[in-house]
Amino acid sequence: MMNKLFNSRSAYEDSSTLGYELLPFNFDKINNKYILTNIVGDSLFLDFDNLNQLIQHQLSPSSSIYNSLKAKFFIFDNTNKDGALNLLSLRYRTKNYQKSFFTSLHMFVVSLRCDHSCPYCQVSRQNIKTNKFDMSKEIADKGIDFVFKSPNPLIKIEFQGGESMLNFNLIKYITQEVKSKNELYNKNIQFVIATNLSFLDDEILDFCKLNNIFISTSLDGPKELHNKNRPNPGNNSYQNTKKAIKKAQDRLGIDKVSAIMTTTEDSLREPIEIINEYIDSNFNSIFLRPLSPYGFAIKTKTYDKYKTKEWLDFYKKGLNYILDLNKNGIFFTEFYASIILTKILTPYDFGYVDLQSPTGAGISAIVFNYDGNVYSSDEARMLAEMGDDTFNIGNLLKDDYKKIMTHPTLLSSIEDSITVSSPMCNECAFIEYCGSDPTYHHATQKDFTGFKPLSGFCEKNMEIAKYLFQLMENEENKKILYNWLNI
Amino acid sequence: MIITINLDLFNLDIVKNVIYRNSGKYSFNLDIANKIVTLNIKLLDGSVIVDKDEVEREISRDLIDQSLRQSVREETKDIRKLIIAQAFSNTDLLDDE
Amino acid sequence: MKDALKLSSKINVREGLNKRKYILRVTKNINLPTVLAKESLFLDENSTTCDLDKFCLSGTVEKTSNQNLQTRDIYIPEQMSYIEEGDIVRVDLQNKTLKSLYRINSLHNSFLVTERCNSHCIMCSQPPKKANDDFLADDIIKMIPLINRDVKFLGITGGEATLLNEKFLQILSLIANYLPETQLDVLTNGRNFKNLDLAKAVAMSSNSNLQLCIPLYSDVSSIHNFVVQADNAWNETIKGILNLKRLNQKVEIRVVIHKQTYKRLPQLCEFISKNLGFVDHVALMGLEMMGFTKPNIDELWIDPKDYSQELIEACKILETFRIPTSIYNHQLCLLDESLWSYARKSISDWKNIYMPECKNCSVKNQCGGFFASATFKYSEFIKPFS
Repeated sequence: MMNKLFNSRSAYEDSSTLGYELLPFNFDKINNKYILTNIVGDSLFLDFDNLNQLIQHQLSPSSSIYNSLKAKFFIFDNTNKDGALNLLSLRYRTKNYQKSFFTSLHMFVVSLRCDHSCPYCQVSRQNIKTNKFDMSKEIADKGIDFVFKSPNPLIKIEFQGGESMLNFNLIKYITQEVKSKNELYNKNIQFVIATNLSFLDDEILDFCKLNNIFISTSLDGPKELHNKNRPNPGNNSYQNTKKAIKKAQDRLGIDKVSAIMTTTEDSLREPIEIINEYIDSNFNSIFLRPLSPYGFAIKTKTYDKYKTKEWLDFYKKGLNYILDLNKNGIFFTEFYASIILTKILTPYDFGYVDLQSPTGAGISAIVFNYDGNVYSSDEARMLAEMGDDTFNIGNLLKDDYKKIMTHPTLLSSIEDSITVSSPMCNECAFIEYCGSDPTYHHATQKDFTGFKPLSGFCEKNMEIAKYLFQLMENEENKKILYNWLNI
Repeated sequence: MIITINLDLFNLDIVKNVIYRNSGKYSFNLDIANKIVTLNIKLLDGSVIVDKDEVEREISRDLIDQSLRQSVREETKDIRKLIIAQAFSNTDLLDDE
Repeated sequence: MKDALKLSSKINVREGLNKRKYILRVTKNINLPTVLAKESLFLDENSTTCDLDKFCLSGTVEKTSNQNLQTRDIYIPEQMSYIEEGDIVRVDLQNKTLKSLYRINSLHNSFLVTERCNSHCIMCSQPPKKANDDFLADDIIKMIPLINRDVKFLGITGGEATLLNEKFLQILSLIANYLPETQLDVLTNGRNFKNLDLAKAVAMSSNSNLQLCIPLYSDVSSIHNFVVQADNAWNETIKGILNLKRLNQKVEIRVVIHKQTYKRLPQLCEFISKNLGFVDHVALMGLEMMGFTKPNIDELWIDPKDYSQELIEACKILETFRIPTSIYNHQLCLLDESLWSYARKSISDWKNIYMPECKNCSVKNQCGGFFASATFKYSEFIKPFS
């Protein structure tokens, strides 16, 4: 009993006859429980009876979950309305803040020439001896002007191809021009070269070292797999790539060199071997990428989803293996999981362009092809190579910044794919961990919005989110996954 | 298989939503008469459904879930607008000082 | 066992002096220039025969023998003989009292600006009073220009300092102007900062060394409101924190851990990490056995050993979100070793004591010890390390 000068606990509970009111939230089933997520992605598990009571306003303030529902912003009453609304709106603003900075990633396709003949590559690779398919200085200059039109204080310039190092002179030129122009703008500019490393030499390494340039290369797995995926006629791509990675790491530092894998049907059998290959090359992270739909003429809609199920098995096997590595003291992360975990567990969003709504296409990342054509994403460029020019939003030689950035296709693809106004997405419990992909849905369904029940993109993201929640029921896993957060 | 739904229990929006969500697995033929919706459900390849109990359980559950979702959406649509408006404004809409 | 220092005392005063009150800096320097001497109390230790008229007042520690000291203005009792050069005292010649306001060699000088408060916390160590006590703030205002410029830390406490309005702003302003390098912690419940104008006024009156220390006792509004015994307090405090941060002020969140707050301590820290992650510091504090804590002891007391798990989990969460954290007023034997790096020796060395169990403890010097008031009740798990 409190001393009579003090009021008891019940005196401070909500006293209005209204009881509690609901704050916006979505829910979905995971196994035999329901996961609830609020407008900023905070989550809570309930069983069906509690969920039902909650929504019917039958939950009593003395029930064990009432306080947690209040504190986590699923309900409010007189005692917390003001605080809850202030904090929710601040959190919502924080989550979306990055998007207002606009385009950060600018990809320059400096050449279509390439020495490899990867079957999954959609780019019409050109003979390495001709330079008809190199980007010109004139186009590069226009691209550079475009870069500095972006209001974003953080800019990333990525050199792509074909094999980008075959036009290394242009890479040098663009780097130097950008740096020089940046003395006026004073932005934080990062450079990345996406390359197969076949043509890596000391001159290139020196330049990278001097200008703090990052290297991103392709490593698809162990020798057989990598060479099957990425044949380089007359050469052992696997061997050369591994050697070149080491050389680049030695010279530039391991934090300056990264690798990505392209997943093919053959990859699906070997998640663990692929991961081991990455450990062998001193990487502490891998991005287990999904199968790309762009390389296939999608014959039936079910094909997309069937493949997704197989891929999910591959992903889960890989993720479980990585968790085991961590349990044995090896710090190793899966990139996609860490992005989604950051959205689930923290108030921050690190702006991964493929997982945001509105879509990152154009407004977060943009591609300048060797011929000056501008695309809203790298996937959009691949579609064009396959004959579908839908996402060609202009040409640097003919169109100015405004014309390109207000191209009707760009605008409608952004608008039509926003998740909060898309069917199923707007009620999905995982909406705050997901994003839009109008390019994918156009490629597979000829529709920017996409019919989500048949979308491999949707199934993948929902399954991964559900799987991560299930993994986190285990304390040891939870601890490891918390270490993967980018805070 | 055939399922009938009383529109007094679950309104048409709810039914349509459930159909939408399940159209990746089944095909639906919809008929409405006297406040009763009749759904003719088949597998996507046109074949007949074998485990009818399971499908009925699934659809029933989805109808209930969707009905709850509709309640939440209705009840929270104003407060959602308020939160988002404050998130993107430079002043406090709630500031009563 | 040491007694806490006596901060004020009756004094003997020479016949014939006026009946005024003075705020004075203490000096032992006979050669002090007049312009400084006239705001000083000369503390005579050597029975000097010099003329002391340039000093505002002169004084000496009263000894039982050798009283050729009829010429000193005030006679200081033995228990206040700790007073030294650079200290600041309040001398009341009418009521014949001497009060130590500022101690130059203390690491944590704290100024009580008012005992009035708009909350009524169940564990308040400074129970609120209603009467007008502006004289407290007036004394502080007079004192600030006398404080040594190189003082590192100062604190403002109460009651609720913001209730003073203008005088509060004036104090902030004086400290920013006279002591521009001093770190200033202001304890406040934050509720009045729901008014953005007050936050603006504070921002304008202070420099970047100001930190507002604001208690938040629960992620659940009704529990916080119960602890502070005020309706709507949670909403107001949150608004206050947000307003202060809009104006780039430094904010620390304080949590006193007791029976009403320990259970949801991890949830509170997760709440802070996700919603208030921009705060500059979180201070997790042990219960002080003073003021209202005693009458409410049954609702408040929990042995710190019994909330070990919650405290460890709370610190882990704050660490994951990289929020600077400290633990105050917890003895090292009660803390899991993983938490020792958060423990601070926060009790001023003239306020802290050790218990009989602490004799021969090998980490005694590292440990902050106890407040003197802890003799009322303390953990049964106190034991020395060998």
